[in-house]
Amino acid sequence: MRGENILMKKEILFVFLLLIVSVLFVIIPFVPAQASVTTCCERATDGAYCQNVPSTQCDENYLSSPTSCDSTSFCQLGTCYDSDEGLCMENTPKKACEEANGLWTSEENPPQCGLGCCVLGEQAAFTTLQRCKKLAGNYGLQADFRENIQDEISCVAIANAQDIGACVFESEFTKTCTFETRGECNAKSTEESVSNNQFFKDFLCTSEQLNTNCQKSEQTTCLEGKDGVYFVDSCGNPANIYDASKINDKNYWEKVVPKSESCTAGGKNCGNCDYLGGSICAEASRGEKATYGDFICKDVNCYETYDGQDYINGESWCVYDNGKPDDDRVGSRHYRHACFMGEEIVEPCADLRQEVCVEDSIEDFSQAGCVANLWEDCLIQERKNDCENSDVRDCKWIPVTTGGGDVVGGIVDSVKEGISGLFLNVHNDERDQGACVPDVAPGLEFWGEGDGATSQCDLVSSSCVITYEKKLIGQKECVNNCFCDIKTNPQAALQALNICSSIGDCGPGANYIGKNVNKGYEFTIDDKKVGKDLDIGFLNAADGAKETGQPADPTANPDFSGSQGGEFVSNSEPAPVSGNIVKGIISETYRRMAS
Amino acid sequence: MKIRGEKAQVTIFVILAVVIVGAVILFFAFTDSGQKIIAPLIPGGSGNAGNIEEQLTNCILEKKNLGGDILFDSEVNSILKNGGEKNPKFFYLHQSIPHKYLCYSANYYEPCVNQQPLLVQKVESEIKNSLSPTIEVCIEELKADLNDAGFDTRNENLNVSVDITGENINIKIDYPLKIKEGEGVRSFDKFEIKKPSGAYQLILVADSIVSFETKYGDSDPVAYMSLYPNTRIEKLKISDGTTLYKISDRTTMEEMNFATRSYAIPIGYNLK
Repeated sequence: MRGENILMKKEILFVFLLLIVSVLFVIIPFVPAQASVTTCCERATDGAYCQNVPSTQCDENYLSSPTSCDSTSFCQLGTCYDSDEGLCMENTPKKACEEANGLWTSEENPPQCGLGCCVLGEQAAFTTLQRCKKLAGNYGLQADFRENIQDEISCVAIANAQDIGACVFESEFTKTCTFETRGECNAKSTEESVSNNQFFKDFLCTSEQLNTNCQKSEQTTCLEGKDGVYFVDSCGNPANIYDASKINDKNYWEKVVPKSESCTAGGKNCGNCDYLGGSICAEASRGEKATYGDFICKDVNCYETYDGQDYINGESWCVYDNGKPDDDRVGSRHYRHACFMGEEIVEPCADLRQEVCVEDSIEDFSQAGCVANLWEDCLIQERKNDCENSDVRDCKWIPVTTGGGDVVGGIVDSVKEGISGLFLNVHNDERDQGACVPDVAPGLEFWGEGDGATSQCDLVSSSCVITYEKKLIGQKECVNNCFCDIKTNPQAALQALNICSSIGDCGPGANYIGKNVNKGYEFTIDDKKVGKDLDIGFLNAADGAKETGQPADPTANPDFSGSQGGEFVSNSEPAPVSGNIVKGIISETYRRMAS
Repeated sequence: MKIRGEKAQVTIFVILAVVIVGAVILFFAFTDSGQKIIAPLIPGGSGNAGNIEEQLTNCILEKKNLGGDILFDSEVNSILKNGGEKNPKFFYLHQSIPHKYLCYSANYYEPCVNQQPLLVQKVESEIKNSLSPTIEVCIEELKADLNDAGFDTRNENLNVSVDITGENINIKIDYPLKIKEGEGVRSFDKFEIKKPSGAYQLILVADSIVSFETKYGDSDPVAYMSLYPNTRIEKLKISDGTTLYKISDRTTMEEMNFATRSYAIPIGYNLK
C-alpha cells in the first residue's frame, strides 16, 4: 500500500497541459450581454411593427410596454381583411392593419375569410367570396361561388368536370359561336346583343353541323392553364390540339378530341405538350418554327447543369462547395439547384451552414431542400446513440482514445453551463467515450466587433492534469491522465485538434477556397507554449506550406445574378483536393487508432 | 398629232393635280401646323376626346426623366424593386437596393409578423404619389396646347387614382374639363390610362409568400413557380436571418424585391 506514512518520496508533478484553442484573430474578452429591458414596441423607430426590442428603440408616437408583445393587447396578432381584394392576412398586428386601411379582427378565421369554390369559366379557385367577385370582375366573367365546397381538390374537380362545348348564338344577324362552358353559354341570355344561344357539348365551333361563321384556320395559340398548343378558328376560339397532319381533316374540326387521343410526336408537327414530361406551349423562337402557327412545345428540361447532369423540369438537387455533403470548411455553404422552365436556378442555403441541403429522389425524380442544421445540442450529448439520432439532431460521434487513462469529470456539465470544456476524455458509466460534434460544423462570425468566435471555440479548450509519482529509487512514473502527455502521445493532440475543428470555424483547417491555415490553437505545458519543438509532424507541416492561410471573405454571399441563363456563377469555387492537409493527417491517425 | 398633244397635256394636268393633292394631304397629315388647322374640322381631331386622351396618355406614359428613362416605368420599377414602397423606412440593403421587410421578427425562433398588409393598395398608393407630379405637368401641357390652338379651357380639381388589375396598371384621372370652341362646349369628366403590367401577379405572389412565412417560416420558390409558371422566384438567405426574395415576371420582365425575417436561427453557440 502506498501511504503517506511510508517513507517513500512521493512526488507528484502537476503538468498542466493547456490546450487553448482559439481563432486566428485578436482574442477579445467575453463581453456579457448588455443588460437592457426588452420592451414591446407597437412600432419601433426603424418602422417595424410589434417587436420586442430595447425601450430606446420604441417610436414615441406609438404604444409600448416593458413586457413581451405576446402579453400586450395593442400588439395582439389577428387577421387583417382586405375588403377590396378579398384577401385575409394572418399574424398581422392591429396597428399595421388599421394604418393600411384594413379591417382587423382577433379571430383566426373570421366569416369574411371563409373559403369556398370560385368557378370562373373553365377554371376554379378556392378562395373567399369577395376575392371570387374580384377575380370575376378582372376576367369579365360571372362569379360562381360555391360555399359548400370545402376543399381545394373538390373545387378543382368541379372545374374539370364542367361541360364544355360550342355556344351558338345570333349576334348582329349573324350566326356565330364561342367555345366555352355551359354556364357561360347560358349566361349569354342576359346580353342584349345575343339571341337564340344554344349549347352543344363537346362540339367545336368549326363543326359543319353547327353551320356558324367560324372556320378552321392555320393559326395556333397557348391557353391559360393548359400545357398544349391549340388550333384557333377564324372567330378566335380554341379548337383541338395542334396536329399538322390533321389541319385539313374535317373530323378533327368537328368535336373535342381528348388530350390522350391526340398526337404524341411533339416537334414542329404536334402540340401535345406535357408539362410534367418537360414541355410546355410557348412562342417559337428562331430556328424552331412549327409547320403551322407560331407556337411549339418548348423543352423546359435542363441539360448539362452545374454538376454536368441533365434534370427534368421541377427537379431540384444539392450542390456543395467541394462536392461533399459534410463540407464544413470556413466560408463553405450548401446550395440547392432547381430546374424550372429550362433554367437552372440556384438557391443558396442559409449562410454559415445554418442550413444544410438534403436531397432524395422518388422514381428518379430528384427533390432537394435547405433544412435547418440541427447541431446546437450536439456538444451536450453524452451517449453515442443520442448523438447519432438523426431524427433529433445532425451530429456525429468522434470516439476518443484515452489509452486507459481516467476521465476528467464534469466536462459536459461545464459545457452545459456555457463555460468551457474539452471532450478529450469523457468516459464513465453514464457517458460514452468520445465527443459528439456537429455533422456539418456551423460557421462562426469570427470577424467584426464583439467576442467573435473566440469564446465559442473556447468551449472545447481544456486543461489536463497529469499525475506523476516518483519513488525513492527510479524515475518518475506517470500514474494518471498519462495519455494527455502530448510529448509521448501526440495522438492526444490530434484528437483535441479534430474535436476543435469539428465544432465550428475553430482550430486548424482550410477555408472554402482551399487555403490552409495551421493556426487557431495553442498547446501549453506549465504555461509555456509548446509546438514546433514537439515531434508532432503536423504542427510543422503547414508552417512550411507556401500558401499562407487566410479566411474566406465572410461577406462573400452568392448573388441573385448567379442563376441567370442556367449558368451558375458563384463566389464559392470548389476547393482543390489538397485543401486540408492537417485535417487529412488527423483523420488518418484516427483511423489507425480506431483499428 | 393635235389629238395626241391634247391627251399629253391632260395627262400632265392630271399628274400635277395628283401631286398637289398628295402634297396637301401629306401637309395636313404629317405636320403639326397642318394638323392644328384641320383638327377642329374632322372627327377625332385634337379638339376631340379621343385625341385629347391619347395626347394625355402619351405624355404620362412616355415622359422621360433627366436620365433619359421613361418616368412611368422608372417609378413603377423603383417601387416594386424596393418592396412596394419608393422610399421604405424598414428595409434590408442589398446591392444598394433597399428590400422592404414585409414580414419581420427581431427575435430568434419566432415566426415573423406581417409588416405590410394590403400590399396591393400600398403599391397603388405609392404609384399614385410618385406619378401625380408627372400627371399634373401633363395636364398643364395639355391645357397649354389647347389654349395655343385657340380653345378656351375650364377645369376643376384634379383627382388621381391608381388601380392595379390582373394585366394592367390603370390610372384614373378625375379632371372635369370643359373646352370651349366658338359656340360649342365639349366636356370631359375623367380620363383613364391603361399600362400593361404584370405587377398584380408579382404583388399577390409576394403576399402569398409572406402569408406562408408568418406561419411556417420558410417558403419553397419551386413550389410557387409550379403554381405560377410565368413567375420566376429567387431566394437568398443572409446570415442575420433575413431572407431576400426576387420575384419576376417572365413575360414583362418586371421584378419585385422584398425581405422577410422569420424563424431566424442565431449564429454559432448561443452563449449569451
